[in-house]
Amino acid sequence: MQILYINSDAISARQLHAEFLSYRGFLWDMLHCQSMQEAICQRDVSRFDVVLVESDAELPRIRSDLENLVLHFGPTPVIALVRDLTPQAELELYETGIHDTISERCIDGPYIMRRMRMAQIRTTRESTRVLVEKLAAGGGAAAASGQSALRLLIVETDSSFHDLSGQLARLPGDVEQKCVENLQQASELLADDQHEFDGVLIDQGSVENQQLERLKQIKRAMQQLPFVMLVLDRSDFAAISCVEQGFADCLVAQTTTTRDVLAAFRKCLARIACREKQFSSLFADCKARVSDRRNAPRPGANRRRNARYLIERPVRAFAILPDGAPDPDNIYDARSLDFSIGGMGFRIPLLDRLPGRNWLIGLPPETGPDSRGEAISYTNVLLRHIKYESDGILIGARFQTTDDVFADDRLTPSIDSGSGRVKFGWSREVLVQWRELNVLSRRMVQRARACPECQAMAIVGDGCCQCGSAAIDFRVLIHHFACAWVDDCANFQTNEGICCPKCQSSGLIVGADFELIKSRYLCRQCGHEGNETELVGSCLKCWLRFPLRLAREVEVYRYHVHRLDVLDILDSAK
Amino acid sequence: MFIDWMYWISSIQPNEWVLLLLPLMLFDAPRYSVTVVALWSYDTAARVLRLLTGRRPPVPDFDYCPSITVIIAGLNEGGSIHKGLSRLWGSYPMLQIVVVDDGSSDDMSSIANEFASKHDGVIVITKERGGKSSALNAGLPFAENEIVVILDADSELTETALWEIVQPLRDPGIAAVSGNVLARNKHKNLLTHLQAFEYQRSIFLGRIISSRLGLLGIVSGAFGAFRRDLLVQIGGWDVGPGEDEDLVLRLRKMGYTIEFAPYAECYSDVPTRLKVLTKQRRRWEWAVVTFETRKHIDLANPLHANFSLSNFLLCLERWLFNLFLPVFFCLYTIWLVLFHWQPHWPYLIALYYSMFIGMEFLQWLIIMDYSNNKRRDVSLLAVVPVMPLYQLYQRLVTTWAIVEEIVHRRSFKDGFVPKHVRDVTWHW
Repeated sequence: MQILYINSDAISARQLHAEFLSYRGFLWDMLHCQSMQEAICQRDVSRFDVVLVESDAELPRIRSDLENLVLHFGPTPVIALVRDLTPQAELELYETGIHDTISERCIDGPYIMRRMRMAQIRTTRESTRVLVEKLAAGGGAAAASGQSALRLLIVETDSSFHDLSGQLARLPGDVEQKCVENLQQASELLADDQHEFDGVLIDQGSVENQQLERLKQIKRAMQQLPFVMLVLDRSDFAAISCVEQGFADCLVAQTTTTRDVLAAFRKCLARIACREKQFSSLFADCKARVSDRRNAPRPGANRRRNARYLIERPVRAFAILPDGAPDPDNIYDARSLDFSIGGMGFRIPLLDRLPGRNWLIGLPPETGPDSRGEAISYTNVLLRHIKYESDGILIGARFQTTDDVFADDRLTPSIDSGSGRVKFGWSREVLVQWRELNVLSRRMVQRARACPECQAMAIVGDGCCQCGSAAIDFRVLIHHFACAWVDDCANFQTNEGICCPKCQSSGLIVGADFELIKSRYLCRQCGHEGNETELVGSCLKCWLRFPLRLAREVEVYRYHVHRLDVLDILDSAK
Repeated sequence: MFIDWMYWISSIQPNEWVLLLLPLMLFDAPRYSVTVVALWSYDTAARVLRLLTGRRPPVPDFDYCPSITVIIAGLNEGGSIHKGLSRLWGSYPMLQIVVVDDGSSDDMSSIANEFASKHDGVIVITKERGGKSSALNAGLPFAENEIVVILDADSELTETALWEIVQPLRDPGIAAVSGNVLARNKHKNLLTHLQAFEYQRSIFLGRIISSRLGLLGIVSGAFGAFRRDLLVQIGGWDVGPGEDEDLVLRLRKMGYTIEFAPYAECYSDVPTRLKVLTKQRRRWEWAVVTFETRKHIDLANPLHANFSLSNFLLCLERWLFNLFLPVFFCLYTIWLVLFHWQPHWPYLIALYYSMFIGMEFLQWLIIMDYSNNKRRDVSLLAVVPVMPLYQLYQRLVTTWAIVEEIVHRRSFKDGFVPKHVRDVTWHW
């Protein structure tokens, strides 16, 4: 996880860094920026999964900065670490578009890390599904105001929770609650028009395994409502699983107070309200643009802009299916008529019907004394003009530039963030089909290490030879060349810089005067002290750590197509 | 011919005897023969006295058992490290082993790491090449025990060697103890056999005498024991060559004494080729010149705070036997050939040769008397006839080394220390 941490105080950044170190088993990297402007500049340099903002300034002063930050980072969740804020002011922060807030009393590394992961998952989910469907349905969320009473539906059977629901019941001004004992009753109440709710609190103990499907149906039907799960287990796994399953938030039963419940629901509602607002403005903007485009006069589509060169050569035409695969029933031997810088004309004989507009044209190399023995070169064309004749079809086509079927990103392997495996722009089957037609060739570019369990790609690094943890600290020594003294780094560090405790030489320069010796390591996970680390793989998907000798070796290929060089063709015609 | 030679000898006048035997009397006789005979006489008298008074000879006991950290610093010792560690591990009750790989290009580190993974108390440090001093110093931060023993990776200790070497350290005034280094590969060729004899004479007998007189000024880098706290206090080893001698001189300046444990035996391979041997001896002599004439010249300065009589005598002994007399011997030989050349030179050489052999034989007899493995040392008799020639060669090498160190400071151009270290260290 790439974290961008914004705080003017460098000491706090270091403290947070140290806090994060205690969050084991998760790979993260933190970049610290001292101001929001600096952070916005970083956005263009690298990609971040979460933006964490901490500011001691009062809300009105940083409000515009926060809005600007959210605007620049788009879908990346922005989380604010707030200090000395009233619950009402905390809710107002959501109007800036931030995704979550973490109050001062909860500031510890693991908790912040958990919230960040939850925000990341939530953002991905919300951006793809919930908001679109809600907007399409024309529905709106309940008021996110911190003043109005919350209407909660509580599904619980655990007797330990009765105290909490009782306490909620004693807050008539803030909460109107309805308690049910199972999901059946809950779904009936939610379906009843007479009852309206702002949120649903579900006790994990009340959901049996057989009812999971029903829970899914309820959540699907009530997407405008935030569902909050009350779990018994305080582990990260439970919390993050809940958010992955579509819950808006997750609370731990043992430590949750009424204040936490109210705050969680109010935050969820505030978040949803803000997203709706953003989406509405975005949607309106899109509609306006579409309208503008429709009303704009069309440029002369029928007019050729480039000079044509009559080049008659045999070509091979492959119809392309919508999924990018070749249509095996529509591969024809054709003949080119002319070429220009932007397109070409060709004739497919003995054909009376075209299967589609997207075609791949293969041009064999010229035969004869000037032949350079090249392979067939291919280009993707989009049919623009079609003329049916008695002995075939005359076609005028434009070379694909923006949506080329063999664009580089479709042939180059990358790692799928979901599965952690190697993926291409097209599915592997599509590429195999093109390869079977000898259009694509492939070349191995990497022999990668994959997880032995899920076969997702793995990160390789030094780890403890006992437990495999990457949380290892090396004892670093300094060797001062001049006097041959070797000691721990700390003994060389003085206020004046690096100073040798033996010969008192100061102002030492690494490489010229001394070298660093990385000696034994201490594992922070198991406490093992060892001489030699072991290469350990860490799965990108399931985070399994395994010795590299157990890794599965995966050959990564890059596909290659011999592209048609139009300038070369035109040049040969001259 | 023998009769003629005898006649020639009988014809030599007393003043000619003095002239002819001057180098012998000044150089060889005082250093080993006279002192060795004096030592033997003293010990024999003590033995006889004990016999007469009915007292039992002192029995060596190993009742002092401090914890030990053995630092093995090596470069490209992949072939011998496993054997060395296997032999060492478990040979002493409270033993920690620190292996320092000083930038090996072979598999020394991986072999040592594999051994460490299966045996407790073994630490392996891998570093870039920085010279033997830095390798030994790199082991110090990991040494947890009271006594630090340094050992070469290819050295082989006898069963009781570690016990023997720590016994003198029960005296808090002793800072370091030198072990007795023997040639393991003495049967390889004549050169190694000659070195084996030389080691027994100059290390075994020579250091017994130096130690008795309180003039021991070196602890072999191949096998020696030090107090850890003193090593840390003094800053460990300085950049070499001759770092072992340098450290001992610095400890002596602090007021501590150095002991020799003659039966703490360590077998080590000696050079098998003349070229390698010459390079090794030159390096040793460079160190003597550097330390005794430049870096530790204050040992002979009575106004200096570090001055003590024993240190002054030690310095004097080095100046006399290691610096002055080898050069004097060469000058004398040249003078003899140029100005006193006589037709009876074969007789003269035969005279020298026979006297040298006589002294070597005497030394061998005393070695045999002190030896705890007489079967091993009896074979040294075989090289006694060749020893005078070997000694002559050594003297020439010594003179060469002294001249090149004084004139060129050759020690600071030697590859024993890597260039990046040589360039920044102090050139004494």
